[in-house]
Amino acid sequence: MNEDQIFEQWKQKRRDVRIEDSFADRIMARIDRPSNFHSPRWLAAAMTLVAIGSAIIHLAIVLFFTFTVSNQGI
Amino acid sequence: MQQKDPNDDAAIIHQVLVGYLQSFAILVDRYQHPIQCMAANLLRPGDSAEDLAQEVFLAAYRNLHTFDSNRAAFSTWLLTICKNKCLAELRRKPSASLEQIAEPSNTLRPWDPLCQEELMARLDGALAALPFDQRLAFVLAELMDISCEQIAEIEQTPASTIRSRLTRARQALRLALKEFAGDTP
Repeated sequence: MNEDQIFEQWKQKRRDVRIEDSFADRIMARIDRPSNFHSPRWLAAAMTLVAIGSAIIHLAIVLFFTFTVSNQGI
Repeated sequence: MQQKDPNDDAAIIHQVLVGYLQSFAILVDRYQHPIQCMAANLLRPGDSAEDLAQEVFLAAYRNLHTFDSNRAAFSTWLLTICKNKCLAELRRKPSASLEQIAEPSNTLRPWDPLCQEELMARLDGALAALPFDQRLAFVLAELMDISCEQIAEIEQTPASTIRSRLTRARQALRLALKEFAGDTP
């Protein structure tokens, strides 16, 4: 085996990296799943809650003034 | 390193960003070998390339929203993260000494199988003793088949500088090989 062949063999040895089968699984397990609040589903749910909340507040204000004003006999 | 379709990577990144986290596993699967190969060849023998590779993917995930496919390919971005992590790890610990380079045996002929193992250990030592920029150029170009232009993007240096680093690295390794052959009877 000559010098070039040894050099190529050494490069091949350096390229060979053993990768554990569970490598990707361990990374996925470390990813913080609950931080996924920017997904469309979460956004849609949050916007629905805000819409329902504001509708309730709006209705409460309308009812409050309706009764207050009618009780004052104006 | 085998070049992937950048549009394909961009589509997967979009899926991850809109909430389909499992798509990130596709990226890990796709780039785990180049990242681990890079880390294993840039770090010192005692350092864990796998732990560093994990940190690279976690950093990529956390900063995925900052990735701009118009500025660089995902592979370039990921390799840059890996380079920075390796550099930080090497700075954290004292540098490798030349004493780690295997001394040639006086009883073996240069190309004997036993001598070849010593020779490879000698080359390992010579690679570890290279300055970081030359080692990076050698590992990316010679071991991972990455073009000088892409390495230049990672290093933010002209491609001509990368070529000259690569030439110097090859010369140093060849010299280690020749010295070893010359030392042995």
